[in-house]
Amino acid sequence: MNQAWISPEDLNRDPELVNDAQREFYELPILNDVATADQKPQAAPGRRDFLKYLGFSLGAATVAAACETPVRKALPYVVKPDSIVPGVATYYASSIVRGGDFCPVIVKTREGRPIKVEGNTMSPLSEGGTSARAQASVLDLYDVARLREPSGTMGDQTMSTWDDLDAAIAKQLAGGAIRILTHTEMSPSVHKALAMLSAKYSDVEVITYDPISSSATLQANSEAFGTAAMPGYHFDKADLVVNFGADFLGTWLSPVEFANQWAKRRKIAGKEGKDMSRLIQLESNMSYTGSNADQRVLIKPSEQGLAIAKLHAAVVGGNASGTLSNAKAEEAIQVLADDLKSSQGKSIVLSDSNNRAEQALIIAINRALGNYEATISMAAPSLQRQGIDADVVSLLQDMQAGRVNTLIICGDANPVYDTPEGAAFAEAIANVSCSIACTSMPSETQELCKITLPTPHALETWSDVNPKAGHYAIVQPTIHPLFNTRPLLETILGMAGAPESSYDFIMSTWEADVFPQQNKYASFQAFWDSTLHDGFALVGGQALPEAVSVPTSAGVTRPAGTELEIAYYEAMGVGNGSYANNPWLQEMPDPVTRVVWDNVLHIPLAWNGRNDFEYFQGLDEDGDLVNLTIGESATKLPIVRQFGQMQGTVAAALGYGRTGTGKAGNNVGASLYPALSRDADGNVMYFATDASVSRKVGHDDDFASVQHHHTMGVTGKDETQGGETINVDEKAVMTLGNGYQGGLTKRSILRQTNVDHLEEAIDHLKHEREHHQHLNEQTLYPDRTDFYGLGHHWGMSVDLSACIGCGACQVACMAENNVPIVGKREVMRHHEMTWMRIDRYYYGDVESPNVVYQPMMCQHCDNAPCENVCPVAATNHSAEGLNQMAYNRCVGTRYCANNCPYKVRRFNWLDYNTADLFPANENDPFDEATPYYADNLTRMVLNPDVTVRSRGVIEKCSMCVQRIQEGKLRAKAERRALADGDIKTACQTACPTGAIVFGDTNDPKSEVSKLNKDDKSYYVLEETNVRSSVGYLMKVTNRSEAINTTEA
Amino acid sequence: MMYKRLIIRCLNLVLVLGLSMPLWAQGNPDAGKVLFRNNCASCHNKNMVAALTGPALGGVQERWADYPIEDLYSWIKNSQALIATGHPRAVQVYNDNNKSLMQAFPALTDDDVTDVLAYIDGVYTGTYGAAAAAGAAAVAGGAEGSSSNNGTYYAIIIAFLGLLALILTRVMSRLKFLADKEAGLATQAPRSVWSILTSKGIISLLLFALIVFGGYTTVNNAIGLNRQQAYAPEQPIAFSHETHAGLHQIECQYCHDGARRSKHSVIPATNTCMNCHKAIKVGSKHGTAELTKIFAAAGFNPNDDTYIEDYGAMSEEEIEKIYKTWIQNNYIQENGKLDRKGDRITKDQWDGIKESLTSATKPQIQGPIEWVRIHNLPDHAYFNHAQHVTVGKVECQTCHGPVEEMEVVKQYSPLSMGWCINCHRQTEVQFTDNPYYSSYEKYHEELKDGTREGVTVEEIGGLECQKCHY
Repeated sequence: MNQAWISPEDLNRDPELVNDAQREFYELPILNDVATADQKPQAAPGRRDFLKYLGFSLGAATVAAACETPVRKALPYVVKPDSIVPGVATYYASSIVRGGDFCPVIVKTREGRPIKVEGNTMSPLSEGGTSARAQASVLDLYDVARLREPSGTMGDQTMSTWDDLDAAIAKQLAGGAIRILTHTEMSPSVHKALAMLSAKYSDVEVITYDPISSSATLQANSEAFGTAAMPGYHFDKADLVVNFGADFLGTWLSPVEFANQWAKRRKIAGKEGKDMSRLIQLESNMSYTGSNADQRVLIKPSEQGLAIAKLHAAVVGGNASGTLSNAKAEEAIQVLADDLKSSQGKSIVLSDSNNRAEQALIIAINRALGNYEATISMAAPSLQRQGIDADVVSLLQDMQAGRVNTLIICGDANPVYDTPEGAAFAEAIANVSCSIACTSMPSETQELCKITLPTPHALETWSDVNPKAGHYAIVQPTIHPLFNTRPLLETILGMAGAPESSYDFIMSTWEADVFPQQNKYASFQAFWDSTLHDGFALVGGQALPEAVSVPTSAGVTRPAGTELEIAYYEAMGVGNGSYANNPWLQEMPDPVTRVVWDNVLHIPLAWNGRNDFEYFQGLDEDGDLVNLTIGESATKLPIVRQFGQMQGTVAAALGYGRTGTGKAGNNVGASLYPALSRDADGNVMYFATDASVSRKVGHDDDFASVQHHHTMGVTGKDETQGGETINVDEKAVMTLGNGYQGGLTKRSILRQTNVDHLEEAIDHLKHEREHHQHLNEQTLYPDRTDFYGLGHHWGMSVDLSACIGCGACQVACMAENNVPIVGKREVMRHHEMTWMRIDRYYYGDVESPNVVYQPMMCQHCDNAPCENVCPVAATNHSAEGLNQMAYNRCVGTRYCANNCPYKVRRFNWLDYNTADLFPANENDPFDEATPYYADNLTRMVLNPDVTVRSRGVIEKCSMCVQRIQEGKLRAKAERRALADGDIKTACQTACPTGAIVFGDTNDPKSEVSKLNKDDKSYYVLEETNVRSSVGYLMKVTNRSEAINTTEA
Repeated sequence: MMYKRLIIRCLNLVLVLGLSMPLWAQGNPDAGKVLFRNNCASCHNKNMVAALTGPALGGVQERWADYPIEDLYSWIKNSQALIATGHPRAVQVYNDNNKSLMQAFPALTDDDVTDVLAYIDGVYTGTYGAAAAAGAAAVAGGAEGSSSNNGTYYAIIIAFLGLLALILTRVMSRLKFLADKEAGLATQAPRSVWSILTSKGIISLLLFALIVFGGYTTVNNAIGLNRQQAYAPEQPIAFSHETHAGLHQIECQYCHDGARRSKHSVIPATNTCMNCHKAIKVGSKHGTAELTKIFAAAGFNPNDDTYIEDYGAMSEEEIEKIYKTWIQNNYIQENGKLDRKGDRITKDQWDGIKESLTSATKPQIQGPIEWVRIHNLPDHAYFNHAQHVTVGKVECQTCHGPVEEMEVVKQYSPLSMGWCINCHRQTEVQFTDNPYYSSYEKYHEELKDGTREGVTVEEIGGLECQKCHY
């Protein structure tokens, strides 16, 4: 089976899918029938309705036309700041920090208003990359749910001013034990302030935990090296990565940094594939990093300990008793052990296991392989996870026993939601005489606290970060605080009796602690100025700690041998739950399952050797609801049938099911934190062996998966042609007859190969393209090479080997181009508006396939099929090769979307952005009185250089034409030729792996020209002669023949 | 058959009348004004007596009186062609103006030229425009006929033709009746005027005319919606561009400093005003009435030339006291003492300040001045000043008109898409001296070998949708 597929239906050639895909537009609503979520789309309206709407629109148009032109005011500054020119963006180097997540960024502001974050290309960690979460952070700033005013009650006294609250808190603090609960806190200044607080009062304790923790690794490192820190990794130096389940490209520790490193060894120039690294993932579910792995070895969650022990035995020596349920995994581990031994000092073995003994074995393996200070560093460890799980349990016991007088909850810490003992926390919090929440967002825990001291968003305040030893970064304010908030740092300083502004305190901390560690700058001012400019400062590293202990395999998890095991993972978008109220992240499809706005249960499927699948429990449709029971906790979840999910295991994400945050995050999916349990060390186990799944108990009618939306290259059986295999979306176009296109089932959408077959694949691709080009020469289109050869011609190149499908580009595109979110129900109706989608295809072995992620946006074809069919010429071509879309000319026939072979055009079925004057057109995803975009606070995120589209028009990728125009103008004004790299699209700047390159294809020296001439480069659907401007580089994997990954 | 011949005759009549119109038409100065503004005003001064880029146009007909009138017309439409023929007057004008060429206007018809000439003459002799308004009012009624436009003539002709057709139809109907009667076929009485007027043909014709006219009017009005040419709203401060840009010759971009580097030209911040008005504290026209508004917005105390500390927190009474003192002191300085008139002036001026600086959304005096925005583009149109001013080197006046002559600024250009497009078609890019355009190799070659004279904005894609709409 060489073909790629996207779903069981696709692989199965399901007639219903063929039928669905034939309809370009899933449902045609005339009414805004989404007002009530449980209401089904109405049947097609009758003649009377039509007349009603006609009458209404005529009347409305008349009223609108009769309106006088409003008097518009223009307000200049009283005293204009030197740094601001209205209409010109100002950029600040800063960092996006949330718990242990860290991303160095440049913040784009317009008229003092941050509207976009871009990667900081100077940062050695990210080199310009970002994550979807960092891209979406700017929307959190304008979240209407944010806490706006301080408030609190103490006894019978209700307070709402900082002075009153501070006075009451000062009195309270003197009264007894103070406990401070926080997620990983990376700010050295906050740590210093906490130390001052501890010094002032006698019984102060700071408890750090992470909702999805690496507690066991910290403990193991503490035992082995005397440093309770996570190691630093250098994936760019590793030839072979053996990974037991860690999602290091998506969510684990420092994904932006790791993705950047990893991609350096995955991008290959021309035919030179010998330096490519190899990633082998051992796991039960198709994790996000697993989907990017070269090979996956399936082991059950409870077998991970044994598997690590076996690898340890094979590499270091000794033996590990017991067998894995997958015999092929046993073999694979032996092969991997040999491979690892032959790449001494050039490999990484890692695991996300939260078992201390397992992590100790991982350390021993890496040490035996000589990987420390070669590919793994304890001299420059990461500080992005600091939480020790057991501490939370002892805090809870103290609270229950009434031993805590004051509890201060910092930032996103939300133990009522994100710990296994949430319910107990909720009760115990009443035993604390004063509970204080210092956070920016409402949460399940904040609701229960007596005092709330709102903190500003990271884009509103000064702060500092120390994500890695020797790496200090700064957080700069980019807007005046929107609400009556106070930074956590200032609150703690106030409590410690040394009130000072954040800025002054951070500066003095840096002068005292950071400045002396470096010798590049002689004066602190110069050092500080350079830090503010660059966004970070690098100072001398630490000495290599001494290794102290020898681990044994005692204490590793033993295989449970139960019928069904479940593994939990961190969702890409909502993370541990603190990002849940961000609709950009909620509407970003999960890269693997392609589901939005929901938590799903991944269930396995098995190829029965005939022409069909056997599904777990007979669940044969995505979105079927089942009851999931783990121990005593029961949850109802929709399912997806997941390729690569091991038999006897299921998986689901943590981070959903919030109830105490804003409208966007509440009641989305179900929370599985209550189902988590702890091991003997108090470390949370991210799997369970006592799971059971019921049969189908219903179907989620709003289940929104973009799997089958806007597909291309999906094949199916055509019953009218005697069950012949046809291309589904071509069928839609070719209902009149079976022409040349109708026969195209092997269209050039994906090209992939393994590195050992690279030469053959390139040769094959060359012949294939020659054939396409030969066909294309037989064209009736006039040759316009001369026309497009003048000036610029914009194009793009996407490296499928480097693309990891993280979704940062998709969110960046939404932020840059004012692309609206539409809500779960609208997505279910195929109405998502994203200009850029990331198609996920499986290929190879049906039960444990490989994955290709293909970012798909408008291809800006020079022979664009959409342009020919527009009756009003609303879409047409520019001399610079852009497929232009004039919204105000569009009358909404949608012919263009029908005729687009790439399915990248989006229609505004409703007024998602609240751009026009008619309330009946508006969309209301969260059942609120005011639609999501109607709030002036939310609208502050809109990019003023891009039109806000109204209902009834088509929109699509413009290749960030506003950035093109800006870049050209800058070059013209500076009287110089445009240089390659002057203009970068939003997706390009967001990409953590540099997979997307934009540029002028008329300039032979530009990077994009070179990439599009690479041997591996091809154009999607080149045979259709649309002459697209976006080249793709063939996906190359590095699979090992010696490892057999199929299930037993 | 008879009908047909009648229709042809009528058409001939209309044609003859139409063609002969220029021979007896006086020209319509209103139409001429529009034409002048769109075609001539960028080079010729609109007061017709002073030279701008091109010479003053007042009295142009007298200067050309020695030659047939057609020469002047062809001169206006294509001066270069006339110079080429060696026409003595043309060559003289060419030499008098440093051999600078006037653009050709092939699109202008003879009627257009007549209109423009009528406008020029009207302005020059003072019979048109504001100066003439008073005089025109005095001779109201009688004057209407003489300055009437073609519409009236057309109406008279149409009415006349209609009547003629009616009479002829009736005559024919009568003749037919008589002929039929003669032949013994008479069955019907001759048609009455009423029955002719209510016949299906006439009614459908009227309906058709109504629909065409209605559609035409609707479309025209719809296109004109939200267009604000000549919009000249009253501003919160009676700022005079005539004084600043005209009399004192202050560079436009001194205050509108965004124009060279941003999409917005930027209404200057109050502290830009203060650069000069810290020293010039009493105006030549309005005294303290207008300038005090700036001080009150910025928190400048003109009594002791300092900025007021913590001005934002001040109450209205405190502010009132400071600026009333200032106004009174000035009155005393001018008039010796503060009398009742002085009190009244102080009160009036303070009321004016308060009214100008506060609004429903801004209750306090302090803070930004709420200017009324004159030039509004729709949200879906992107315009960048820097592109035009810095790169294109377009003069401010090309679009904004002679602002330096405007006491109250008004929107000079229509700011319609057609207007933009037209300029992009005609304007040549600063092509050869900007290295940015080096990628247009073909054009450079053509310029070098002389097959091309220049590159217009259109030719580098300046008419494409996504140059302005995205």
